[in-house]
Amino acid sequence: MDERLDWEAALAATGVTVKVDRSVRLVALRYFDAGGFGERLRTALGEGIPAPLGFNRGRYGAAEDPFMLVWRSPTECWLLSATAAPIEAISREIAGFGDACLIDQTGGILALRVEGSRTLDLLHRLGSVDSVPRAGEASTGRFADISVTAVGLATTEFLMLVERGHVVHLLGWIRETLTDF
Amino acid sequence: MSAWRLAEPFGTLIDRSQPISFLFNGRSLTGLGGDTLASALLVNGVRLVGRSFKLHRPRGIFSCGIEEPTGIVDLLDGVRRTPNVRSTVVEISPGLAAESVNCWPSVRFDLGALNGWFAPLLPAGFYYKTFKWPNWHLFEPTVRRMAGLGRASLTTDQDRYEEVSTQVDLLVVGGGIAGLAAAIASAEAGARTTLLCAGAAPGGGLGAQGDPAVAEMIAKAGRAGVTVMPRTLAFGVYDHNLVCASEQLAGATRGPGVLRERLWKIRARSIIAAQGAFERPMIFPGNDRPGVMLSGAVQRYADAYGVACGRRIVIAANCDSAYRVAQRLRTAGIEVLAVLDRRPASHIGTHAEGVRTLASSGIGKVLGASSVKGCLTVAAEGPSVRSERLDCDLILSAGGHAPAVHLHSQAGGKLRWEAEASMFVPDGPAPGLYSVGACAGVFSRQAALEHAADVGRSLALGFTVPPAPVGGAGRSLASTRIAGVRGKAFIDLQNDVAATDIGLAALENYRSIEHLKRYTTTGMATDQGKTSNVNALVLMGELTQREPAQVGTTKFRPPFAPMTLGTLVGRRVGSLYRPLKHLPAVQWHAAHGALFEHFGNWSRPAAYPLAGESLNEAAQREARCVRQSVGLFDGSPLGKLEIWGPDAAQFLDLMYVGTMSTLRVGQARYGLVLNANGVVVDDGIVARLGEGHFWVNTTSAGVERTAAAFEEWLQCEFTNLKVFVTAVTARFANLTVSGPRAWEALAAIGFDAAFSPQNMTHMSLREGAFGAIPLRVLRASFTGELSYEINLPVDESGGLLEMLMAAIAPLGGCLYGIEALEILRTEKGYIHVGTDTDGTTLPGDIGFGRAIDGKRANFVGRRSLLRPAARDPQRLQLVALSPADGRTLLPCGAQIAALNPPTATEGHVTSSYWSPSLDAPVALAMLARGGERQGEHVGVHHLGRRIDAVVVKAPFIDPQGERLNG
Repeated sequence: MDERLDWEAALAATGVTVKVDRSVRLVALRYFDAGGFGERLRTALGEGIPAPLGFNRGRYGAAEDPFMLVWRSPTECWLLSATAAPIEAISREIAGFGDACLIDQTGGILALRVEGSRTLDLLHRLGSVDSVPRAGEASTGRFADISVTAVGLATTEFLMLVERGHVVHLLGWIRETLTDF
Repeated sequence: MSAWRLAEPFGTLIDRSQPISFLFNGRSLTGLGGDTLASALLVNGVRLVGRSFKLHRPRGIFSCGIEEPTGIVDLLDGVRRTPNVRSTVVEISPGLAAESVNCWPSVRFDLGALNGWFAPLLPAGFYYKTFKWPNWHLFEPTVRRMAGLGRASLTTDQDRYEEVSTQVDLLVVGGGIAGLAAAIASAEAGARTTLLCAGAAPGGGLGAQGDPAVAEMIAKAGRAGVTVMPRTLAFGVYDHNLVCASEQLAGATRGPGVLRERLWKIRARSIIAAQGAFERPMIFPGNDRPGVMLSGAVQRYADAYGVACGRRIVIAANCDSAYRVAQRLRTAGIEVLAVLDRRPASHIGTHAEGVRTLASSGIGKVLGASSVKGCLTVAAEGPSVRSERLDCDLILSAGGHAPAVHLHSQAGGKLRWEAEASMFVPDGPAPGLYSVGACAGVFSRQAALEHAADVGRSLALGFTVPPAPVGGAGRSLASTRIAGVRGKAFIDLQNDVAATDIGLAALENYRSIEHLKRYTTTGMATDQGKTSNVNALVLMGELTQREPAQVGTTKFRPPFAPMTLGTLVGRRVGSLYRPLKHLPAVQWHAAHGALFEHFGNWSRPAAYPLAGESLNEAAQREARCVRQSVGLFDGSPLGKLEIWGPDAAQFLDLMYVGTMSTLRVGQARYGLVLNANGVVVDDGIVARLGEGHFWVNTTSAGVERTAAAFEEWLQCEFTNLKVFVTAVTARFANLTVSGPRAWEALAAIGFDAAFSPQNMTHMSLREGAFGAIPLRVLRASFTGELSYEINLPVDESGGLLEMLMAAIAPLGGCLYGIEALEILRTEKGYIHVGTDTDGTTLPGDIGFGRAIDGKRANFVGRRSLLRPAARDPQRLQLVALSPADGRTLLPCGAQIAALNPPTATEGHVTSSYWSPSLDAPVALAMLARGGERQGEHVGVHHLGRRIDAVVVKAPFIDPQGERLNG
């Protein structure tokens, strides 16, 4: 393995581009009572907990900072945002709330943005077709033999949320695949 | 066998305008575009292709498809070598080179053929009965050299392979007319339909004959929207309708580095199997001679490739299809001398015009040594009836058919014996898989077309699927041999299994067909018995007075046909062989000379060797440096969990041997994690961050399984507890500064005095900051020295590493890797779970007996620790060992025993290093009754050598633990 693989550079082939999106901040929201927490989430951000295997997109505050809530399990969703404001808002809302917590995973979970007309061709070479969510869905599955949460932003645009330690492996697999595109 | 190229309309798959040169055993030959290697060899008059496995008998082309047992070659392309390729499925391309297998020095003059002289000494299972005296190892090298057919490449495979996943409504496997009919009907009913076709184009045998109706079906499939995947062979059906198929992408001789094969993983709502049937050979003496071929294969060579495999032929038959072949070959100008039909005249349902038919007869002997020169007839009544000599150059074998029920069986379908046609057919559908056409036992063209279309349409629309109208093959006898005829008649041509071998097995009381397979090797190797299994089981039935249905078949398992390992491996080669995690500051470590190795699922610095330094020398230097001054270690892979919730403390008490609920905020405690059997599965440190908030360190390799175990206990057993387990290993980097001058280094770069040893005791955790960087600093030590485990946001690790490096350098400090850490912890007698422990180690074995006895609350594994076996005084217990001479390093894994072997072992060495601080070896071991054997001398045995060692008291260094405080 090339230990010095520059994973910040974009990988590209005809019809598809892959890039680590370093602007993404990510926190895990954990809650026992989805109903109660969902209300607090709606109060703080204007969006509730996403439906199972789904995600919600919203904008926060006067600056209209975009954010995304990704369903992970019945007791967890991830909040993705380019700015700190939405995270601080929900953090304030649940402070002292004994039934939910927020765990910052920024930098630990990285976001790969995959886009282009051949995005699905690439994803179907990384993992099972069952693991690839449809546009508007988000699911966790096995891609390149590792666990990845994939978010279907559109049929030609996906986010792949992956543990940082595995990014070199995932990008290596993608690079090999794109070589044969 | 004198072959020639037939004029059109024969040769529907070849391009007569495209001559292609290729090499066979170094000889340049020419074929045509569309030819397979087998058809090209046949038309060039090549009869002898290879040698058989055991007896090195001459072998030629026998079939025309994936069932080929004998026409096996190695393909060569520069340094690339693909062994054991069936010449019947390889399309020739310019520059293709092939080589015969299992022969030396040449296929014509093969010294291995001497085995034939000793054939009576080499019956079935001879290797189970011989090679015992004086010692198996005497024969082993020779046997290993002789094993196998082709030779594997000794160089790295330069080709590329990939896997693709897809989903369809209906998947049709097989491109013959039944498969086409099913696919068309399904697509026309609105289902997304994909058709897999093993050959270059769909159409099957009838398509190869140029039947215009088949051409129209292919066009219709295209119009209906059927996705046709040529050169794609389905080789396995797995759970939930997952079909795996291999697609051949590049010609055999294209340059290295190309994408060669693609593994398709196809999830289908329903599967239709339409893979046809294999022809069953006749059993007669000399039936393995080059020039004896399956009748359907000879017809296909004529139809598809325009190859007449011989000029004068005799057909040994047991089925009506032999007559259709005879008729077809006559139209090609091939002389059919006779059909010798094993069946009585009353069983024969058809005839071939102008062809002499001898009912109740067969072949008594094949004339010719390395190819067919003729044959002698024999009557079914026995050899007493007058024999006739027929001078032919080709013998066709037509013993009936065996439907390709492999995928049906893999999917869990049952089989039944169809007595009239003597074949196993699917007994109804398999879960999710429906058979049509010949592989369902439907041999009538019209019935097959109608049934297949019905099945395709029904599945697409969700209707009930109609049963298969089995029939149309006529009558065949189960046995294809004439009893009493003398001579070596083969059942399995690839493995040299003769009828006499089956007889021997029966004589030795083998009854199970699975046992027969393994004893005689029939049905093994690359063809997996596609032409031999039915004959073997029928003969076994005959010899043991059972019907074929009572004997049954062997288990059908994937792959249906041989796959290259490359297809199965896909991208998992080189750096992608397995998923490895990389440190967040991997580039920083690489720039500082790290030698990376794999530890668990991480790539980590083993050491940082200086110029000219070996790994061991570097580790010794680094360990010495930590003891004397200060070292910097990247412990980011250390498992990290956040346990949060009002019941977190109670939960951790249940998960750990230690009691965690009594920890005060900021306090930390070591603990062992057990499984339900009481076995130690992980260890680590638990620190309290808040009332219901804990920080848990696990082993680096154990974090996923520990988190999963915690989650499982929460979800399945302790469902009343409100606790979240969240892995944060990736979020936090961990930089450890360790050594007597550790605090000096931290103070030098401005760490808050609150972290000083005076203000922060061993086994405590403090949250704070370094500038703007939030920190969680744990005072815990795996080296036995004053240590600070600094946990910080992962993106900040590179910057802090740089600062810490600058701080330790003036103090004589250095970076240290895993190897030095192992030395340091062994000197201290600290265990490494998985190295010093195994799947049997209980806490009491490693010195935690009192902790268990002292804990009143329940915890996972406790009940198992109350079993008598857990308290057996003979259990292996952790001890420290020193060599008696004070100099000899005790090998890891070496067995400990009082007497020289052979004797019962008393334990084994688990960790062993040279201690740079003591200038002597140190070792840990698991030893029976180890706890009470301090001072005792024991023998450590390794590769025939005994090393005397002494059980000593651990730790080797700083027994009072004073160095932990700096």
